[in-house]
Amino acid sequence: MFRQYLPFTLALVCFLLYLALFAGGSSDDVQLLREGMYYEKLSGKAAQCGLCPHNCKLGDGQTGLCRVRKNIGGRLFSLVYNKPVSMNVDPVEKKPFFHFLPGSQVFSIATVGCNLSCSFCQNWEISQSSPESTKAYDVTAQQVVDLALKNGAKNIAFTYTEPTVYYEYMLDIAKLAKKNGIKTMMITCGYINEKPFRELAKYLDAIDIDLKGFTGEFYSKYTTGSLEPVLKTAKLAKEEKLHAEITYLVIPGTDDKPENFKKLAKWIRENLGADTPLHFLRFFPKFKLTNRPPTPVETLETARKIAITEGLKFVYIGNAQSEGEDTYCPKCGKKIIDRSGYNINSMNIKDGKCSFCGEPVHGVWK
Amino acid sequence: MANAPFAANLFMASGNRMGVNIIIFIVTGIFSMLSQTVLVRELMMEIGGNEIIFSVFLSLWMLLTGLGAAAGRFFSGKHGTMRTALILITVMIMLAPVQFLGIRLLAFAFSPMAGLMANIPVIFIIALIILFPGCLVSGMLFPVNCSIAGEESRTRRVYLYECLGMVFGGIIFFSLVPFAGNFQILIFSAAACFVILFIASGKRVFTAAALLFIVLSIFSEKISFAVYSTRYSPDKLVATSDSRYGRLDITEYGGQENYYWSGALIASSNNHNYAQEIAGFVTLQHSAPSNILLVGGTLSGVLEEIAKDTRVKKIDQLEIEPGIASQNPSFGREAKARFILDDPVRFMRESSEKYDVILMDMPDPSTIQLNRFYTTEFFRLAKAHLSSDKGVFAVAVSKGENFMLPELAELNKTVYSTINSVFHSAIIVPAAKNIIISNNNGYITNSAAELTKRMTEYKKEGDWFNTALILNTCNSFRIDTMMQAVSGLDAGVNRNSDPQTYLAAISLWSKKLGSNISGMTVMLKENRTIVFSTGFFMMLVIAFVAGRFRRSGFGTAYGVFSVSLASFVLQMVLLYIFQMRFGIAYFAIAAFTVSFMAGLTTGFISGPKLKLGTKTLFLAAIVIILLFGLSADIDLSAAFYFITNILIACFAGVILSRFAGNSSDDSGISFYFPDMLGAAFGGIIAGAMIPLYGTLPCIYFIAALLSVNIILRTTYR
Repeated sequence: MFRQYLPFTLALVCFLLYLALFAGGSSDDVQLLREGMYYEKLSGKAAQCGLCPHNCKLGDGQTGLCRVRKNIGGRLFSLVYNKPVSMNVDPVEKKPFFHFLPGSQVFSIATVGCNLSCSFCQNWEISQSSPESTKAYDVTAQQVVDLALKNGAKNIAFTYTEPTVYYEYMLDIAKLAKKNGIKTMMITCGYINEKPFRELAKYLDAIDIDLKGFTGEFYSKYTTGSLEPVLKTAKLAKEEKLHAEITYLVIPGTDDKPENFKKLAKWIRENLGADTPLHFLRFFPKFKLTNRPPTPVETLETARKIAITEGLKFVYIGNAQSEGEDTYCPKCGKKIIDRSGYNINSMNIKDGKCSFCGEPVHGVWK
Repeated sequence: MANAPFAANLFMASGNRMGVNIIIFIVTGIFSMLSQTVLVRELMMEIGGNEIIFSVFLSLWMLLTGLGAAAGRFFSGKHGTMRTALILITVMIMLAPVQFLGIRLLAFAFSPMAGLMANIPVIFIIALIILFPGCLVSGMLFPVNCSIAGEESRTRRVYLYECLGMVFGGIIFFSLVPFAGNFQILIFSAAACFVILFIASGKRVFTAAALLFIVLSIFSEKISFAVYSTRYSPDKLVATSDSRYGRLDITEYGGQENYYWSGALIASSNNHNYAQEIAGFVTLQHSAPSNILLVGGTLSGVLEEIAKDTRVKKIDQLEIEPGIASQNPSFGREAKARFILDDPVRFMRESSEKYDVILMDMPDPSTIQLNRFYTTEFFRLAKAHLSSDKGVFAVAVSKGENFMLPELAELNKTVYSTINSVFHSAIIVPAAKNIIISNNNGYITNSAAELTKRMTEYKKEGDWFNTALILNTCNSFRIDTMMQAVSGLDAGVNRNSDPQTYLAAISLWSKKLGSNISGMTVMLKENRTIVFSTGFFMMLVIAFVAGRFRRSGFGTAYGVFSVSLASFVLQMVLLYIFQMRFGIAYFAIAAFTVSFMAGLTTGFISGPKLKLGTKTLFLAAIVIILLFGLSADIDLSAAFYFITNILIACFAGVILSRFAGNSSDDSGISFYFPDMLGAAFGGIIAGAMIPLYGTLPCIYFIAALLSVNIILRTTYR
């Protein structure tokens, strides 16, 4: 009996074949690409990327987990060198940096790609895209510096997506920026190997390490990375004497347990120092996690209280209105920076010290 | 006779056994319709989706039922006894609550994180697992029912009574839904069906089954609450209520209330920054915004922010769902606010109110339901409600924070160009959402300096909406990025008959799920002629091959397949156009479905009595369809669409009754299987073709599909 319905099946197959015939492809022109740093050639035109802890082993024609580093004929190339997809001027508070030139403007830049695939990514439009599917600008490292100067930005931020994946571009910009007196900052998930990080740190001024959670389980369940390398990068940043701030995206019902906040604060105090600024950021439903509500402000306030109790001096709440956006002197307790969103309403820090009691305040103030 | 069941006596004219049979057929129809409505609705709420997913679910349902019918031939003939039918119908009813609970269980098993979107393969697998057993049994019932239907016109009789049962099923569901949840309706209906089966058959086992479901119905509210609670864990579900429009769930976590509409998060209680930003940027676009209309965004907090503006005297909040309106903190408390419970399309058509500012803050047009508020027709209706040329119309649409993904850019581009086709000028403010602001006199601005000046002048500064925010939002990089994203000669205008914005939203949705269909949709849109020619060629191939198989009944199979497909697609097209023009979407679904089934039943009854030949009927149907196609862009009354719907259903019923009468096999499978297959293809075609090509090409495609029947019947008569 089913023989009778064979034509329907054949017709469907014909239609699907027709659709398949229209599928297109893309090719890479090696001449236009920049050869990647930190990789090792393996036998049979294979290569192993050594930039991040994934250490992707790539056969000829394969692209790494980050989508932007490709093995072409046994050589590893960056597909995004000179190819930013996003350029903006932002207030430094938006990064967030609260102890690094408050009120200053930052020239922000990003290419596509990321080496962690978080289902809650707040910048998924770029981080989860590939160079082939995204229209990019053509901007050299020198042009980035020129644009920053032209727009009156004191800093250049490598941000939005994971800057590690456009390492070569970031490094060249940072070198040129240093020559031109512009400070550079990296907003990163911290998933980078030691050697490339130490090389980069020579030219960076500040780093914001974005912790996705504080348990190995969280990282393995919700991202494609792991926690240990991130913590190691944070320690390296301290060793390299970079100005470091830590952010922690609090996703309700996943990484918002009080014991995690306590462990996190304790780890920061013991490894990075009690004056390292910590930001608890409010989560908003994004990308694939669109059905979780924003983080309750109450949860953020609890997290802040716990971190302060654990001995951290500067703990903030981001993406929500509360007293957790202001800076208080750790000695006299007076408000030394009054903020409203991105606005600096008043600042009582003089020569890096509290204007009220003279206590030195950790940070870069000019 | 004294002990004969009451209902059976009603059918004494055709004999006791025949009366029981008819009741079995009708109960099959009633419960098929009820379980289909409840389970598909529940699947949609649990794993999310749009009309495409809805079409896939329905198509899957039809296909599996068709396969069930094919498998059911083993139970037909001499095995097809009343006992078999009663066993199968019992299994079908018993399975439904298990399927219902299985949805939650599978969604939980497949999702590593509460609130995470399910991938397309996961959605498909869950639907397949859930629908398979019930559909299989429901499909098996058709050949078994045919076996017990008597000697003459058995296929026609079973089909007719099942259709009648479906009409009852539809009426029962939409009568109960304002008072009960999905699970309660299912349990209550199961109990009622068992009671009917007991009365009809007199078998005591149905009393036990009915009692079991009556007991279950007592606890059904608690059971469904417990099931829904697991969906939101670790949030605490504090309230859930069903209505004709959907289900509102309210959860609590960390002192914050979260609102879910039909399973999708729509708002949370602490929206301070968002509300201040949207209210601030929009009200600064008018020098004296006295009278304001808010469309949607009832729980976003924008109303409360706007009410703080001393220049504002009156705010009308338009909301379709009373449950959502009552959750607004200003409901019944804010003197300036008035809540209007109506469909926005209907309100815009019927109201004579004038406003200085109209702000639309709805979810993105990711469904056809929502897309109707983003069309040029709706924007024109809204424009007529502006008090003067200074009147501002603003629409908030999703944006990329730091980059406009091509699919997102396309979505914004279509909304921007649609607004531009109605208003003289339009600008974009890339705030928390992209606010596309338009008017006819040019006062609107996205200049940071001008907005800062107005903010000071109108005393609008807040703790979030301040100079730094305006500078960050309206800096040249962000404005240029947005303008580049939405400008371009190829920007499509979103019309009722050509839903461009919906198509862009579908591409964005698929991108999030990792299936990039935007390239394919562009290809399919650009090669419309090739696609349609190929489609038509395929029909000719089917017709040719059908001729080869005519002796084994394939001519009939093709006829049933095409009529079923055509009527399904046309019903979807009619429903779509009706909703676009008149709103009241969910009532329309109920009314269209029930009236279609009623029309089909009427056609089925009168089919054998009509003297017209089948070829003439096909010709007449095609003429009516083409006439409907020609009138598709004319603004006609609501009655026209209902009459057309019933007329098309009648034609389908008449033609199908002919094919059912010709069905040579006792099991009726040669009729039922292509019928289900046709409906399954119809669902997929309607779900794909309407967003891709609009309604008119759908109509012409269907007319062409049906015309093949005339060739077939001419060639092979």
